[in-house]
This record gives sequence, structure tokens and C-alpha cells, in this order.
Amino acid sequence: MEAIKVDNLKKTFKLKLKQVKALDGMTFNVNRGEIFGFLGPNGAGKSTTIKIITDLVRADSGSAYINGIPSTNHKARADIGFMPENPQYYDTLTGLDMLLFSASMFGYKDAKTQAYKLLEEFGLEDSAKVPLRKYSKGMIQRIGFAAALIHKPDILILDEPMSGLDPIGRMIFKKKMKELNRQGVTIFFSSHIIPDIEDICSRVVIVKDGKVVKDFNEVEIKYLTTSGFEIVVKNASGTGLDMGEKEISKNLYRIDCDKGNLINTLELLKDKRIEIIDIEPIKKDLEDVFIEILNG
Amino acid sequence: MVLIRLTIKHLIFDRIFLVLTSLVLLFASVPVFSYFSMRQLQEISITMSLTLNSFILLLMTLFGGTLVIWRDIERKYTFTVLSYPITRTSYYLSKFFALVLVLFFISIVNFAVSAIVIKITASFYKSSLPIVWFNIFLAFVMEFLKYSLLLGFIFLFASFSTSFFTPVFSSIAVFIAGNASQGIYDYIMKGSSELSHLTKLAAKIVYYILPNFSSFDLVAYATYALPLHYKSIEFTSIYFFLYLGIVLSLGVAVFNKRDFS
Repeated sequence: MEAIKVDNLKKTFKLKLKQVKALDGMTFNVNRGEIFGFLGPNGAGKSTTIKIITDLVRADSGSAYINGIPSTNHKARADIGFMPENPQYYDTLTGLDMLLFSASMFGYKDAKTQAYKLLEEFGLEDSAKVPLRKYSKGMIQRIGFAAALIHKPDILILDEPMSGLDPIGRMIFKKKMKELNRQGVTIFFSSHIIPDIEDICSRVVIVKDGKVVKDFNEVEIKYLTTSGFEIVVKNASGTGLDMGEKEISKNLYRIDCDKGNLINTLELLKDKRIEIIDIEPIKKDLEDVFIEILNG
Repeated sequence: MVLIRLTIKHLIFDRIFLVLTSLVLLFASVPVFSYFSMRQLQEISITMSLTLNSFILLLMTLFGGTLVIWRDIERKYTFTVLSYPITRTSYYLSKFFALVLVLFFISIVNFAVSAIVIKITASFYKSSLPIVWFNIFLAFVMEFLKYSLLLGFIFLFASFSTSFFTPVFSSIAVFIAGNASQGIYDYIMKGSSELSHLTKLAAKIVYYILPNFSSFDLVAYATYALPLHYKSIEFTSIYFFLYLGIVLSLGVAVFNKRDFS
């Protein structure tokens, strides 16, 4: 069974006199144990999809399921940790109170030890008893992430979790996401920040105009972001090799080849009995791939 | 229970609510103003205490009701709270009953303070009427019920509104209409024979749709120690529960359909 199943969601919002189509047949599954990247430009329908999954918005048609339970049933949210985009919390609560409140809403009592552990992990131990209205944006993001984890959920749904975070905060978040995923937590992660997605996701879905336009697994992400290979060879001089090789140090040469030409290049090097020292992929940004896809 | 606790805690720390709570201090002025009446100190102090209680409850209801639901939506607290494994109905009702509890607590405080104020004022000049504490207590209870019902309306309006003004002004309109409905109905039905049958029918329909807040008014019974009509109080209590049930059900139904985008 999939952790999250989204089936042909359609949603139109009325904005004054205009009808805005937010979702137009959004369909995808999130498998257990994945770090699922939900990538798309602004207005692609990412947040609306997440709000339907968390039952904040009701779809015009189609359905969403969490652990096989329809998202409109409150029990579907029993095993998820959710962090909305730009989270807002009751600002009279302290950081510690917020975590304890969150835990109690999941029926998780005696969460004090776990709360202090999370506060420490997210660098908020000194602000544990400070009201949230005095927290900075980055601190709110951190407490929001900690609140989503307090009840040890099976599935994490994070809507733009790293927007507005400083580099240290981003590092903490990424490290924590990878660690949770190793422990078996499924992570649904929406973002328009491509390096974050590229860095941690094992599967990426690209959405545009309210529907999925591409679905990549980890291998496909690697393939798509590899534009060619850099081959380092030894003793190439005097062999008559003419492949645009560049000498990088004494007797060591670098040859760049396109990803479709790797086999031919390797065979040629083998025929000429040239020793291969190293082969490294030349990576291009997922951002370039993303723009290529969006531009059709 | 967690949400009820949180709502009460959140209200207690709210500045507007603190200012409204501090209005309880105005009870101290009741003996002074009662003194101006020369001979009806006791009666005036009872009326003023009940009026002041009504005024405080009205402000608490209007602002508290709006602050609780509308602010949760406006500040996007609902994104967090409704993503927990709770139904929207339990969220809505928890918020409502949290405020009802606050109103109940304030009513008790107001009654306690009023009792002291009335006792002190009555000691200045002996009235020919006795102080019937049960009548006064019941008048406070009825005021509490009246504002709980008004709170139900605020929650109903806040369940579909995105602006602060709609629930506040619609509820003020309901409050005014609810207080005037009985008088206008009596005038149309008994006083004027020139009105058409259709007008009378329309008045009857509007009268049954609008809440009848005047039936909760026991000020005269409390002030002049009049004998209570228990049947009428019983009827008003049943009316309260039925009407509140309908208003809350409507509010829950609308809130359950709403998108939080």
C-alpha cells in the first residue's frame, strides 16, 4: 500500500469573478520509505494538493488517501507530521508548550523528554520557555519541524520547509530528513528550491498547471542531471589519440565526452591500450532539467 | 479538552480580552451612581449591576467570539490545528465551549461582585422591597444563556466569513433585532388592525426565525422582587437549547464545507 495516493484531483477556486483552475487531474503515489520531492513553479498546484491531502481544502473531484484512509477522514492524519508553508502557531505558547500541545493533539502524553530532545536537536533549547511571538522566522520553521516530529509520525508532509532558513538551518533540516528516512519515515517534500530537492530526494515529481508533467526516480534523476563524463587517462601521449584531451598534470590527461558517447570513447581508449585512471560524471543542475521540461 | 484549555489560555493572555475583563472594576461605580436616585438605591444597584454584567458579556461575546474563530483563520492557525487528527466539528465546538466557559466564569465573578455591591448599596437606604437573591441569580443565569446564544450566531457568521466585520456587525444586528422582536411582534399583532394579513404573516415568520432575547430578560423580576413564572423560565431554557442546537449545527455544517486556502 502506498503511503500517500492522489487520484485525479481537480479543484477550481473562485477569485472574485474569475474561476482559477488550481488542479487539473493531479495524480501520483508516494511509496513507503521514499523522500518524495514535489517540485513545481509558483502556482503549479503544490500547496493546493498538500491542503487537500491534509483536508484543509476539499477537492471538486478526485480523492486523496493517507495509508489507504481517505484524506477527508480525520483518522488519516493520525500518522502524519505536517508542516505548512510559512507556519503560524499560537504565539502565546512557548516553544516547549507548542511541542507539548502538538503531542497532546495526537494523544501522545508524557512528551516532555522527547520535546527537550527535539528542542536541543533544532538548537532551540535556550528558547524553550520563550513565547513564540518572540521567535524569528527561522526559529518558527525549526519549532514547526520539531512539532511535526514530536509524535514520531510514519509520514512527514513538508510544504516549503526550508524557505527562509539560514544555511545552518537548512543543513540541520536536510540532515534530520535523511536520518528520519533511514529510520523508515516517508517524507513528502514540496519545494521550488531545486538544489534542496536534488540533494535529498529519492523520487521527484514535477508539476505544472495543476498536473504532473514528469515523474523521476533516483536513477532517472542521476541520468537526467548527467550531461557527460570526465575521463582521466595516463600515458596518452604518442598514441595518436585525438579526443581533445587536456594535460592536467605530468602524464595525466582529461578527456570530456558526451553521455551518449561513453562506450565508443572507452572502446577507443581500450584499442589504443590507454590506461584509464578515473571516470566521473559531469553534472548539470536539476534546475536546467526542470526548465527544459517546463519549456516542453 | 486540549483545545478548550488552549483556547482559554490564549484568551487569558490576549490584551483586548484583558481590557474587557478589567471592566469588572466598573462595578465599584454602582453604589456611587445608585446614590443619585435618592430613595431607590437598592433597585437601581440591582438594575445597574445586571446592565453592567450584560454590557461586559456583550463585549466579551462580540470580541471573544470573533477573536477565537476569525483570528484562527486569518492568522492561519487553522492550518496547524486542523491538520491534527481532529474533526472540524470538534475544533468548532471546542472553541465555542471554551468561550462559553469563559463567559460562565465571568458571569459568576460578576454575580459575586454584584452581590457585594448590592448589599453595600442597599445598606445606605432601607428599601420597602426585599432582596430576592434567587431572582437576581436567575437573572444572571438568563443573561449568560442569552450571550451564549449570541455567541452561537457569531460562530455561525465567522464560519463562512473571511472578514472581521461580517461576524461582528451581523451579530450586533441579530442582537438588536433579537431584543426588539418581541415588542415589534406584539405591536403588529395586537396594536394595528390596518396592517394586511400578509404583513402580519411576514412578521410572524421573521419573529420565529429571529432569536427572542427579551424572553431572557429577568431584570424587572430581580429588581422589584416579583414572583417568577417558572413555566416561562422552563420554556425559555428549552427554547435556548433548541435554538442554540440549530445555530451550532448550521455553523458546523458551513465550517465543514469551508476551504482554508
